[in-house]
Amino acid sequence: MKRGISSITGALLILVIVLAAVAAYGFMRPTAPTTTYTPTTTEEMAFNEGSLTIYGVIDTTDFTGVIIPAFEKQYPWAKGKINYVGLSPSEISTRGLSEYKAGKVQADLLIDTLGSLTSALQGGAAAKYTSPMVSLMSYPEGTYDPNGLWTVGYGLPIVVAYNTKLVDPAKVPKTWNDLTDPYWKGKIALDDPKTLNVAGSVFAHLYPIMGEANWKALMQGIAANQPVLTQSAGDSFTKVAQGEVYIATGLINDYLAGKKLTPPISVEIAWLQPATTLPIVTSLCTSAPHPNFAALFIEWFASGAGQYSIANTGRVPMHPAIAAGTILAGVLPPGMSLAGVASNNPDYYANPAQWASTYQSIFG
Amino acid sequence: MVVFLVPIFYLVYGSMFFQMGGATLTYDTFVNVMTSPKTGYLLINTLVFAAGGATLAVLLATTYAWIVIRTDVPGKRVLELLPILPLTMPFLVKAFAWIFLFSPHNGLANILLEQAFGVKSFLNIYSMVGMIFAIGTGGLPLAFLTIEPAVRAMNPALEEASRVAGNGILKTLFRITFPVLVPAILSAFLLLLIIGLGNFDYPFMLGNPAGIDTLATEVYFAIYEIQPAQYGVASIISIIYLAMAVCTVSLYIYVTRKTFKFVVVTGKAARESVHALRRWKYVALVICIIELLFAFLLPYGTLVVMSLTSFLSSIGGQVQFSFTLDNYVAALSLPSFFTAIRNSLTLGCAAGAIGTGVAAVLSYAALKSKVRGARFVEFISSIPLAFPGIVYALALFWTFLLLPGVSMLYGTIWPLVVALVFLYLPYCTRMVSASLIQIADELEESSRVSGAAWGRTFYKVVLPLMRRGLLNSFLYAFINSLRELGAVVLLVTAQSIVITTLLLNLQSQHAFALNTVAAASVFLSLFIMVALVIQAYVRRAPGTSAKKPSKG
Repeated sequence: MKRGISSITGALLILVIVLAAVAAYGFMRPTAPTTTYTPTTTEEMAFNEGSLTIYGVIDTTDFTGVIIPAFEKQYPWAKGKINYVGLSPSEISTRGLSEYKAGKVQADLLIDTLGSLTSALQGGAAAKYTSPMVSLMSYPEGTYDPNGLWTVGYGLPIVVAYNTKLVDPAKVPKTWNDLTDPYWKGKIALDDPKTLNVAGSVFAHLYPIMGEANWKALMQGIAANQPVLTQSAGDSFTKVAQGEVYIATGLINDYLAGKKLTPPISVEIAWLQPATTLPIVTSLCTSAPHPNFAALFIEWFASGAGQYSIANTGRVPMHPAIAAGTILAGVLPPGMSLAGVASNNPDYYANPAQWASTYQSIFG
Repeated sequence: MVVFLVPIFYLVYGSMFFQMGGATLTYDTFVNVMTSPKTGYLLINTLVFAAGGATLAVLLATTYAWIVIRTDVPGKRVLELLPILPLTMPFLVKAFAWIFLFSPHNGLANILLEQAFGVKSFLNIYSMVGMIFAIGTGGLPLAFLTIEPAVRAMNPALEEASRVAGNGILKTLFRITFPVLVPAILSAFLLLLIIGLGNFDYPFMLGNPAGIDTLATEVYFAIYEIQPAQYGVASIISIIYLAMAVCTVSLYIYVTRKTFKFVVVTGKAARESVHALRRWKYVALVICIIELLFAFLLPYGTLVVMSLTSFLSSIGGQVQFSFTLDNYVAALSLPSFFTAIRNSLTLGCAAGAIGTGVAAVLSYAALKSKVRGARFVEFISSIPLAFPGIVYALALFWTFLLLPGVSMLYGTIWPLVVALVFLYLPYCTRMVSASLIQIADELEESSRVSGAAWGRTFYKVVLPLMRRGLLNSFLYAFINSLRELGAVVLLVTAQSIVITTLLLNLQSQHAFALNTVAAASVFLSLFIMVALVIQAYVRRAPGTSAKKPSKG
């Protein structure tokens, strides 16, 4: 018994030492060494500002593991100076706007879905910024705001993901109306439409195409199937991959990430017409503590290096040529084109509160 | 009182005058919310969830405490320590494990039970029953810690008299033991009811996907899920929440005041006796193990398994598992992980130290001070019980955003420290009071009569006798600070992210981050486990040893 207690004590002691080392590393992480560089005006001011805080919708592992290292490769002095906070689309908008209204802006840059960001943009939380890189890289209309409130980010094609172990190939949906089939009752996952993220945006895209009566019938049909409402499209995709639900609206990057796992997930995707892509945009915050560092990042994000780093995370670059040569190659069916989701529905971005309320009345 | 009244003021002020897209606290908003059927539905859900969870926790804890303390079950010394293990897992983390085990279509446990016994979907974790199961099993530690002293202190003469009169063990249990324990059981029930009312994690993770919302999730969603944020609705819901919690807390204070017993340090020790169960002691052991299985072993084991695979699924009962340590590498590679660890440990230490200090002052003033209003001090220390964590967090959010002089602290860790100190103050006060109340006044008076000033008396006499209560209080606040989500989720910013909010963000953002989340959760659990082991050593009462079993 005494030897047993000594063993336990010894094991506890080792555990305490290991945990203390982990905690100590958190307190005493070394800072990046300074380095010399040839300054440009924006870069010099960014360097002097010293740090950058981003509220973003890109998941933390991809942003800190792929995008930030690519930025630091171009700007070595920026190592360890970017503070990234991954949040849900609605949280980014709400935090950005409430901090702006209270005069306590913490973030320099917001990276968010255009739909969720709209209320923050309308509330004045975004500063006007015209990116020179937009004209340099010849970005087409629709990829940036002519008024300068938001600019180039990336796109996420919206798909319907299904679990191949649970769904018979004959039952795979071919149109959005197929989701009203009672067969899918309790077997669908959607990110909550009233958050104006994936599901909310794609449904808004269907409204002008279907007309009000057919659209309402579609919404009520899907709601009658008691879909599982999740916090995010990633959450919905996880449920499909784990077999909790059979199908879900999801994003292409989750599918590509799942296929890289060992073993790959048992999920395939269906492209329902009209195929759309969810725009993720960047906005410089009004009264940002470090506006030049934020501007530098925006320029880099829109540059070739930034767009290729996006492609390396499985997301679709906003630049059409880079997108076609990277992510979309071999993924997008031949002849299929992608439209910006709800780009055909200006009312969606002009009246987000009304659309949120409509979805709440349908889906609860 | 300032820490209580000022945030309440800003809870209303911020919502009335902080216009964002027209979502303000107006009379129309108030009427709409108060007359909405949804509000009644939220109230009922919250009460059913909290009451069901408290009932289950108390049943489990009473059974466990009686078996471990009043019978000759094998492995008593180990079994007495194990109920605190569930505290190593934050509710949020446990929710991940429960979902994997008991999701309705492909939960691994459901699949295996169907294959073994033909029972289809044994437990749907996305249901009110599932939520009650999750919080009930998770409430075992606190219920046990509340009931155990009463079981231990119970006069065995009552049971012995019943046995002498010819009653068996079970009859004695139901006719003598349990009725004597009713006050302690009721106290535990009310305490867990209060905690259940304020719980955010399980309704968020398990209830919302099934359309079962509570007041806590409604406050969160009104701010973070609906565009634009509806602060007015969140404030009204918060006030309703507060009113309900105040009623429950008042009842709790009334019950505990009537049933509060204390043992004088200089009094004789209570004599314990145990029942000899003979061969039934192995059945009792199995019961204890089953309780521990659901409270800790099953969810923690699932969490560890999840952390060691790239992706875990159980479609059709076939578990897809491939061993890897990449999740631990990924967790340790996150720059925000170490920031979150640092912030969480700092937050825990600050909340523990400040909370204990304030609790010590309040306890001394209430118990030893002869000034008028000492009872009022005791009441003040109980006010935070009425505040669900997320409600107080919303109130503090406005306070630190808008109050001049204090708003400079927005974005730092201090709003979180204030929130946690306030919320854990009642528990810290009770722990400190429990040790302070055992100190006879004669000890202090003897010191004063001998010429020592008040300060010297306090330092040399009172403080050493209080140190166990102070350490318990510090550790309790420290441990729960590491686990807390509801009270911090609205207050964290880029600079003050803590481990629970990091886990929540990781899980919701990335489809396959769940396994990385599991790995990070294992680290968090290990930190908490070390603190719990220290607390367990501090908590064990001196001098208790094996008792001679009573002949049945």
